[in-house]
Amino acid sequence: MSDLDKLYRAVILEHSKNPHNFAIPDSANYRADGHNPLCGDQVTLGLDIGPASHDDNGVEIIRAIGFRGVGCAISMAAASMMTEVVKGLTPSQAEILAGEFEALVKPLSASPEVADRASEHRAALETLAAFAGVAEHPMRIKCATLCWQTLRAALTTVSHS
Amino acid sequence: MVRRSGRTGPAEAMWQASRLDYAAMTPLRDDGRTIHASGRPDRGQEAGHGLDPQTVRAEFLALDQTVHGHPLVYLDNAATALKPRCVIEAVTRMYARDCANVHRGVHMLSQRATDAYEQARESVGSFINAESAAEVVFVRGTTEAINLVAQAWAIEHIGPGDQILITGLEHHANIVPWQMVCKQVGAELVAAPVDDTGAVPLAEIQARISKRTRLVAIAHVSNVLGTVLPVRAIADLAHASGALVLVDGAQAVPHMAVDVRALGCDFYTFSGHKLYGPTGIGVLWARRDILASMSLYQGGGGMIQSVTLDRTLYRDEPYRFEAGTPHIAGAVGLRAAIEYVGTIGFEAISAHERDLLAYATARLGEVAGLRLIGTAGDKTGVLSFTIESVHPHDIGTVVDTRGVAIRTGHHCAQPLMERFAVPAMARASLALYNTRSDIDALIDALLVVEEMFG
Repeated sequence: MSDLDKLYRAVILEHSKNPHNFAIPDSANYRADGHNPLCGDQVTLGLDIGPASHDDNGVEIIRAIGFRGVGCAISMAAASMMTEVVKGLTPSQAEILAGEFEALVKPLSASPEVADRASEHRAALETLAAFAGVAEHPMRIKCATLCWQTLRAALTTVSHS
Repeated sequence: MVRRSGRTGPAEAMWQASRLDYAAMTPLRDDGRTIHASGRPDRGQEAGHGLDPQTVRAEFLALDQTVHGHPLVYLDNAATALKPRCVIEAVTRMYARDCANVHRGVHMLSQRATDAYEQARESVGSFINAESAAEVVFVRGTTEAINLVAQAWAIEHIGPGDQILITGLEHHANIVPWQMVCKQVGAELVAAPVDDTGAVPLAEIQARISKRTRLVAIAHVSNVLGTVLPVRAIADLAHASGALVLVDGAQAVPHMAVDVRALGCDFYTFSGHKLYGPTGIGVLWARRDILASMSLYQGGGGMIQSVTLDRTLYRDEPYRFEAGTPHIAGAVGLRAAIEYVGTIGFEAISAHERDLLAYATARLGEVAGLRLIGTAGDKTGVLSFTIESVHPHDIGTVVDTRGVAIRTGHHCAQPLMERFAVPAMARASLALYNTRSDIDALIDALLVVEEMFG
């Protein structure tokens, strides 16, 4: 696979052309804006966080998530795929996954061999492994991580509320 | 002389040459001073029968490399230009042999360094047709030159209710320092708008010049659009209202002969590194009477005549504005760059770049969905563009994998991105060593972009 194909995996191109969850949910009770002033990438996240069901014992999860934004293929695909994998997670699970994603796209630590990873989010990480090629393009790491940083910002407001 | 062996790369050969065979690089006089060509480098010389790209390219060591397995195609010249061998040698020479501080010691090395530094000032003065080398202040680059004028002239001469006029195509370096001044003194920053071609109509400038205008600060050439501004006409308008004129010449000096007296400006600024010279060296030129009227910039050694604990007497301009040890090797490298450009001549350089610009403009037209931004009648070899439904950063990354270096982003001109309603642009910018095959490589790489994202 060429360097270029490793970066722009088919799944990334597909998500960038047709992003999933590309709307702020009507029920969103948390929002955060992410902006990468150096390249102009912009992401707005909307999350609906609350008890999984009415008879639940109070555990809150991300019930719905969506985004709007403009940016490069990497940033848009990252946001699209992030919304897919964090839906249904608790805020703290999503935080952990954010950290695992950031490790995945960092140079040296990146490894597409996610099967070896001791993670409770193996399936999610296998999906996100499509971004492992970003690690070889240091200038593009911030494109992939913008949405995750925005998610962290939104989750920070959850923990403070 | 640099000898190329099969095993070592050009940079290694260069370093070996500088270490081992250094004395052979430049003829020396008996006293150890280098022999330099004299006179104006770029005028009064026959430009000859044009520019031979292959001869030129051989002088730029950085061109001789592959990137991602492809020969490097360097089209990011508006960001910084590559350096010819003579510039690298001149800088190396300053550290390898004439390494001393300037204006300090009486020993031979200090004298050589001082001579070389002051000869560089002379060379810059001639290059822009200054009346005297004393009008040339060495700074780190265009940005520092503009900040120097902002802090040492504008703060003193601009007051509450006054206006500073810029244009909508300025680089952040010619916006932010004036915003700082306006905030400090209570003045107002006004911008003349850019039209759809990327030109700034003279009428828009004229309509914004009044008795309140104290300074008109404009780019000579836009770093994004390549537009050449009519500096002389703008200066005449400004002067008729009693305003001074500062020109950001960073993008002009590599491409055209600049004559500060013919332009009629009061301040002219540029960077060495875009003119094939070193980074970290730049020039502020100002008319001598204006320099003399300016207050201090930075204090320290080099800018004083005498210091007691109570009082300091300052040196005359230009030294008054050069506190601390200057970038001596940078100035000497800049001189080498000026001499290099002079041996080719701006007539040949601009003919070559005009031809390439026309070729590149036509070929970019072949790319589906490509929008060229900046189509003013008078422009230099800068080609900014967007491609429908592809973000410029993706363009930049894809063409990089084909060895093609272009700039993507907002190009330090965010107001201009807003003007053309794009978050960012891709930009190919030309220099004297570029060829039609460089343009062909760009187009081929853009076809890959089209294939992936189209």
